[in-house]
Amino acid sequence: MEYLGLITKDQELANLIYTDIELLSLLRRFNIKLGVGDKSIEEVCKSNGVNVDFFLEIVNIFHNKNYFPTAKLQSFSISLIVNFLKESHIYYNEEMIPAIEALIHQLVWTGDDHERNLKILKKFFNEYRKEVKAHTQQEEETVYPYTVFVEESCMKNKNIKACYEKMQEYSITNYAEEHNNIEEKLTDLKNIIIKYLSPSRNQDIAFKVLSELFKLEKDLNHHAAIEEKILVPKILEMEKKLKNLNSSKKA
Amino acid sequence: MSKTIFILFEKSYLIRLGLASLLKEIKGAEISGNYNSADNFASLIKNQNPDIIIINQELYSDINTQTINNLSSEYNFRIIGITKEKMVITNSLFSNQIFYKEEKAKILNKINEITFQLNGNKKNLKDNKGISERERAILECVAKGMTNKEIAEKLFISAHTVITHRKNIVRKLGIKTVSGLTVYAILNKIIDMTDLK
Repeated sequence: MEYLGLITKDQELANLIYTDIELLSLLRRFNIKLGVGDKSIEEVCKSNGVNVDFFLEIVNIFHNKNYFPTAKLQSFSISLIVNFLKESHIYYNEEMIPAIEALIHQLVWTGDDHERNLKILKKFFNEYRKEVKAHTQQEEETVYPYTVFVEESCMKNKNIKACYEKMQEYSITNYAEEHNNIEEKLTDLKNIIIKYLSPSRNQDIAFKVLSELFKLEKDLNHHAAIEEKILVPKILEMEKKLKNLNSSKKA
Repeated sequence: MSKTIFILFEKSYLIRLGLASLLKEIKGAEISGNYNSADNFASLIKNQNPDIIIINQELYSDINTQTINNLSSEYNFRIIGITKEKMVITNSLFSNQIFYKEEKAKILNKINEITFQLNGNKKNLKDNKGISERERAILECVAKGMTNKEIAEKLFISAHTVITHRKNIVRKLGIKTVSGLTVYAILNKIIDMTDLK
């Protein structure tokens, strides 16, 4: 399928940022620094050791609302995908969420409302921060290492037995089933701020909080899609292969 | 655009057919039934719960007045009468009337007007998203951290009913998580900060 408006590797990297400021956060995740001159996306990727094809796909997913080329994305290696997911975790836990938290702390209401509103919002967001942290930590400690191990065994046809045994303990199906939705609390918070919270005296801050929440939500949606539609099916395929390899070895 | 359910009672096959084809030109109109007599009028209304009844004046006069009054207090419908000639109907239950000789545009206008009024009313009902007293009581328990079973026992209802109420609360408020509902409960003084464990 032809997509209009897809970003291509011969475009200037600087143009990418002019076109869509939200893509800036992706540069961080690929460790691309500013001061890119008039270099093309391909040139910048090369000099930074970034896989340009993968970079382009990610950039295009984030830039084009309905673009999500499942088959193409599944052709990239697990370690490449997992690395990006990990970088996104850092972005959520160390940048986005603390920034939103700091904004919430700045909200001011008139009179008695102030103490109460601030206290419950802080409490709610604190819980959310912990939830995201626990979620990402579990993925980094259990899920991602497992997927990398599966890929390695499959590709190099080694450690088949060990990997198969691990699969018996924890398969990607477990992950797919228990992958909980960390966007729910975010949606709730958005609704509370938009509809139910009395207006703060500094509305500019309230608007900022909201716009950051929407940004985070959008990012998390892309993130979850990559995990559920790319990572999980890819590993499922490999698990099948492992099973066959394991039984043929025994035979 | 929400649906408007019509039910037709008219002796003449051709007129019934004509009306049915005319209603196709009205946005959201759906005909739940098309009858040549008003026998079983009450049960048909109860089963189909129409928004608009279009009925021939002669068939209408066959129906017991008490039956109609009872139905109109229980169900929310409008009646459009069909008469052969232009005549005055004094019955207050009739929203409007149409005549055999009337032109299509005029009939369409009349039906459209009533449909429009009805949808306006429906919209007002839907906009009223505030939670009910019962839901408020349930929300209070949820915010205090009670389980469905505990709530059911406290309010003398089944756990299933608690779940239904909770679903409605979530739908009305747009808040899914218990933490979110707790924030709502505090903001609306349903529970106090000190109730939090």
